[in-house]
Amino acid sequence: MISGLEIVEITDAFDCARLAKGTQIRKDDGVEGDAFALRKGESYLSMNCLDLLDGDRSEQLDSLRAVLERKLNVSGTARLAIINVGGTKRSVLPHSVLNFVHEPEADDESHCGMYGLEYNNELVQDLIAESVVDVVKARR
Amino acid sequence: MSDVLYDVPNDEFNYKLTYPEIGQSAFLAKEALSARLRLEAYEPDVQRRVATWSDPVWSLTGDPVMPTKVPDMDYGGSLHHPAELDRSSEVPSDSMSVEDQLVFLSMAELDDFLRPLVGRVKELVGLAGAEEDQQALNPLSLRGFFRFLYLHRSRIVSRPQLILTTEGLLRAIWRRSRDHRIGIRFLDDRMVSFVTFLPDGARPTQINRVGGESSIEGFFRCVSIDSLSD
Repeated sequence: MISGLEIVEITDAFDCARLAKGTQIRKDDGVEGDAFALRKGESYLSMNCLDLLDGDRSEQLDSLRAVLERKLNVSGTARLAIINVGGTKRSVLPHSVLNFVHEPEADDESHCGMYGLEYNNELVQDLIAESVVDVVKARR
Repeated sequence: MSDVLYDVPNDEFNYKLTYPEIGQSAFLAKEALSARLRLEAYEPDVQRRVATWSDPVWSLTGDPVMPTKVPDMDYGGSLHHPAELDRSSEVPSDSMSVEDQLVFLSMAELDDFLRPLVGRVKELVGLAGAEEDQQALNPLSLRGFFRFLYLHRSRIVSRPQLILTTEGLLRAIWRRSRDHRIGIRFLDDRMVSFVTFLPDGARPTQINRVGGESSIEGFFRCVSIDSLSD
């Protein structure tokens, strides 16, 4: 567990989770590229680094769900799309070069940003979606 | 001429189906369907009779149920088979709200292929209301999706998965695997953007990944596929 607002390097071995709305989930529970789309004016995509949270994967996910439920209105159909940092970086080459930066917030210490995306680049968004390693419920 | 064509013993029916350009067969085929849908909406008790009248028009085979005094109708060669018709009249008009389009589509005689897609659109409309920072379904995007289905129906082998983008646009996905997928986003009722991941025909281990934008009509001229399937 990180202490305070210490900045940690996000290595390729880490896993991150991105909140995907219920509208972005296929009927087969797959996550679509739009879950990784920048909104107009955004420079990075918010996500959370699971490896910066305590416990095993199940406990990390529960911690993250608690944080997200405090910050956002998380719907029952929303999902957490889990990606491996290194795997996702490789999957988008040569179309894009991604960079993951730890950006802790007072109420969300594992918060990080995915940089290098372009607005409306559906091809890269779909490549990221295809690099998702797991999809789990976003609400406890 | 229209008095003869619409010689059906129901005053309101006669009144609603008066079209001056009835000699144009394409116009007739389109209007017959939309008239039937309007009547189904407002006059449920005449539904059966309207269906009897309009189905022969739709099949365009000169069925004897059709009014006999239509010798000057020119089917123009391309209208002899329903599959060859421009079925765009089955698509909700461009002024309809999402709610009205869904009512329109619910009343249409949808087949087993289309019915689940309308159900999924309704589901997405409901999901959008529960999500933070999610725009409602754009009515032009919905209309574009159904225009696409009707225009390219013969080349759509399987039903797509449907999602709603944050900006309220429908996106249809045909996905066989991570390296074999086609995603089409309906920007409005004219244009789409698309991304295809497809194995190269000559070198199957090579995956060709392409993104682009096209008109709904021109989609198959822009992508190197003959049909859409998962």
